Amino acid sequence: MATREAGKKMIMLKSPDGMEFEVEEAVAMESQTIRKMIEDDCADTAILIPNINSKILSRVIEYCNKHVPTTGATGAAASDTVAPAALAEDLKIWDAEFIKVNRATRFDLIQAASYLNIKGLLDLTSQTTIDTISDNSLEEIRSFLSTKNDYLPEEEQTIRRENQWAFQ
Amino acid sequence: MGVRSRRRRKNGRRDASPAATHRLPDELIELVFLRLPSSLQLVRAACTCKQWRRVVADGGFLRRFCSLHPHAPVVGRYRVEDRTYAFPRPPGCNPVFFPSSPSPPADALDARHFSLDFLTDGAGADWELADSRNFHC
Repeated sequence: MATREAGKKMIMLKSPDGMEFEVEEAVAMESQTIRKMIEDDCADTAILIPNINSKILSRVIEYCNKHVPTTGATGAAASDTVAPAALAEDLKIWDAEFIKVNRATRFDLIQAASYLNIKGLLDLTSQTTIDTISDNSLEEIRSFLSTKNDYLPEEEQTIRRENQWAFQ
Repeated sequence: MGVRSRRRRKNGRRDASPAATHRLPDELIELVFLRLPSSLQLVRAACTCKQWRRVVADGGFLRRFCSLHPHAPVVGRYRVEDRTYAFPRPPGCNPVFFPSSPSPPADALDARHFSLDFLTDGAGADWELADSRNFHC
């Protein structure tokens, strides 16, 4: 349920595996999905976040916690004392560390970012895949992204011949 | 940070494993691919596996991608050997694309700059223009 703690409105987020996370409303509203629920007055009680387990939900909240000062309504304290450029650089470094996860976790984060509609997190979690596709050979893309090559040998041969230009 | 979250475990249960698909569904792959910088990367993605090719080849996806990347054309030509551009083509005789340059200039699609200087000429040159296409993606 929505409560007040230290003068800040709090929201309870529940994962399907029985964990509860009490977060500031501003943090929760980094998710456009949750923002809409709150604005539509659908969030009087705790909000159940389906299909996102506690491990992933805690990472998502960690991301929102870090990012709310620069984009949310409660950002005044941080942005008053730190130059925007320094803040952006700090966030970039933090993001780079945050996304050092295995492939399964990254995919779970993409699913969570999509469901909760958190654009920054979706951009961040997509970037590894985008960089890999942009910068590597076909074999490396398959290897780095653990993508199974399910083309038949003759299909593979044709694909390589017709699309060789894209890998030069 | 000014933000606190509190965790409570109910019923002493351990974290349940997510519906751990280690493979993204098509609609999420679309979301990722819409962030690719140009159609060149789309081709690279489509070569990787059948699922990715299916996503890239989808008409709705291509329309969305083109609307998001209106200024990312790949300019070039298709070469067809032995005049097999007539249908049906024999197996393995699909046209092969040759890009004009890795990153075409902004006016590459301007008809005033049209050129066929990539073609060989003189004795022994044997070619003919078959068709033109203007696929903006």
